[in-house]
Amino acid sequence: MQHLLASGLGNPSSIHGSGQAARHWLERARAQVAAAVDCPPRCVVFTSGATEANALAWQSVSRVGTGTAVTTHVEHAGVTMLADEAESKGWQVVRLSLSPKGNLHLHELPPSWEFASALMVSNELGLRLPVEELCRQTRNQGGLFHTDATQALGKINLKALDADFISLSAHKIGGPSGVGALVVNDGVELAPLWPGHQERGLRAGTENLLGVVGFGAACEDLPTRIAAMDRVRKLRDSLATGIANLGTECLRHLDNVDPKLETGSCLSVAFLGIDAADLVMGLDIEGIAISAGSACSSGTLQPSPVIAHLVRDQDRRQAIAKGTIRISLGPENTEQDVEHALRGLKTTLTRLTNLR
Amino acid sequence: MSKSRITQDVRHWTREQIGLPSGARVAVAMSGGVDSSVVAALLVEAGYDVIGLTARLYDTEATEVPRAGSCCAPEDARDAKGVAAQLGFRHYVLDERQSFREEVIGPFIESWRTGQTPNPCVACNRSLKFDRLLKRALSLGAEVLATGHYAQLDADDGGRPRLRRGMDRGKDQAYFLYPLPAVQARLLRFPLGGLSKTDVREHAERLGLDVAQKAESMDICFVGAKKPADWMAAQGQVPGGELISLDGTRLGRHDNLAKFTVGQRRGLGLPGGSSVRYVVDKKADGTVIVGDRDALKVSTLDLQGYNPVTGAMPKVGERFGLQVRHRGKAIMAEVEAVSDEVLTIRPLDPLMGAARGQAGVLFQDDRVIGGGTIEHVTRASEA
Repeated sequence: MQHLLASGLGNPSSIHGSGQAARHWLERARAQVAAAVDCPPRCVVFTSGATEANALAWQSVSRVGTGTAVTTHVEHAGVTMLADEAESKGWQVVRLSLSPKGNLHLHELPPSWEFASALMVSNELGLRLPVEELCRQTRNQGGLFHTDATQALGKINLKALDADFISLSAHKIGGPSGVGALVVNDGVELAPLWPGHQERGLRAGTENLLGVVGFGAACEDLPTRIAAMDRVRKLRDSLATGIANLGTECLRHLDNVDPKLETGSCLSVAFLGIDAADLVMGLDIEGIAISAGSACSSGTLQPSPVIAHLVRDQDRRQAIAKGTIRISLGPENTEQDVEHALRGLKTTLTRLTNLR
Repeated sequence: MSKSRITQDVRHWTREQIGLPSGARVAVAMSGGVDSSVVAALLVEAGYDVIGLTARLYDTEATEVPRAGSCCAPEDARDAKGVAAQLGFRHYVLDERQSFREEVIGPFIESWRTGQTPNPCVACNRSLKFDRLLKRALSLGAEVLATGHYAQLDADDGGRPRLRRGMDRGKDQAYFLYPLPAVQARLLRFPLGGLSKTDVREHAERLGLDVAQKAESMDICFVGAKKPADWMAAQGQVPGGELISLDGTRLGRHDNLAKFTVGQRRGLGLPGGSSVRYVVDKKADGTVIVGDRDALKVSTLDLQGYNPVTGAMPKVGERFGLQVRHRGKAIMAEVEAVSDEVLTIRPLDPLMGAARGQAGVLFQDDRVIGGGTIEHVTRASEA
């Protein structure tokens, strides 16, 4: 990216020299991203991020006619909204539920369906969904399969992943924000969201060259990131133990889940009787960035529908969802970070408890 | 005077208002308007560790065009966030929609329904600003919470909270602040109390705030540009009823009790006659009682849920200034009876009408002694 900034940027679609140089960088990045999922570079369509990639996949399928689409109750809000939109256009949408132990209820599949879309790794839980199995069954139906692999990239080796559409995002692997890709299998027809010639007419608009190059470069580091996941899991586990020993009543979601079912980089904990927004703000003040629920347009937090779905206890569902925070860890984190986070949590919880 | 000298003086002045050394963590309740934005900017300038807090209180209806001069609407939260981003301090939006519905909007509707004239700003100060926002501020490690209210707050020689009218009498908000609890008072700061609106706009310009020219918020925030009566009608919540004279004569019907408030003269929809008629009283069943101006005269009124801002309940026979509506003049009045949280007040100067549900606030000169919700108004004509 630095080299590119220093040399001046051309438009990859231009005929002149700097345009051709830009084209070189663009195609190089495309090959780098393609290597991450072991597909031919021509299958990679660059987008503004996974949200656009998801929309490109969904709308390619749902824009004409109607049919049955399968998705899950634990999708990222982007796909949830696309599913709602397809439903409003006459599609029948079946949303598979999840057991409290993290198993996707495949027995809820309808007799037949045309399209299935499931995230590979839950952004809120770090849970791995059985997308391979869902993809196989969808193909058996003659349907198309989409997976949002945003959270899987950099945590799991995706070279063996086979799907008709795969959404990816750069900023989850240390790349820049505002760039992503949709990987489209050969032979699958993609309908652009708006007309134009870039990206083989599939995604019009001058390419975000700097972002794309950054995305490609970040993909070069994927093996290192994936190799670090064992260490990340240990950090996560020691954070979980530390939180359980804080002396505040809390409930860990997907506790004792089969380690093979999750990435080990995410911890989701409900503090009962505490508003997660208070913890997010309190920890931010202490220099620790965590998440809770889903941020709405004005910046307030709504209790997560994904967490609400996981809680079987109807009476406590809202309270648990409202008190749930999510701490994500990555290869950048250290033991000191875990200690810092535990100290910050203790300080914030003490302040909140004293105010009652 | 040189610019740096002005800045130095302002910093000193700001620190005097806050009473904490620079570097201390101070939270600011930000509505997204000019006043609270200037408070935040002055605090940043004076070297405080500022945290901006904006409460999201309600949803703007999807069909409603964003309007100038609103407060605490989603777009105002974005303005507040913009100021924070511009000046580089942390800012959080708090979702208080549920508590606002339960503690402000709900009672507002109930009050109109039962023949009162509610004051939602008082309820909002009581439950949102002095309670929830303050708690949030403290939970974030702030030492005090500053707001953009035009009122002066400090302590008297005995250490009791001293809440006084804002220096800018045109902007003064002391009337709305009477629910201030004595304990919380020492944790709140109103730095604009000693400034005029012109001063505040000048600061906004000097500090380069984007909101410097933003319109004033004057309406009831969640009601917006609508008349409260139309808003109530849209909620489907308000009874119609009869207009009757003091002697019980039926004069006509009306379709919306929220169209009327005690002391109102216009819009009664009565055929013109020789005497000018006023709304004298409203009943929970929708009945509106109409009479001549003399009938408005108040003999006594009760202040329910009286909060002694100074920390001490007034004694029988003590005399204070009594203000019964925003921008209303304080008139001399005497405490007639005191019981748990209820004060009976007798105006000594003529008081022509007091609406149940409005705030009744006692002043000594410009100092707020305490206040409560007006209940049980006895008219001189019935006494």
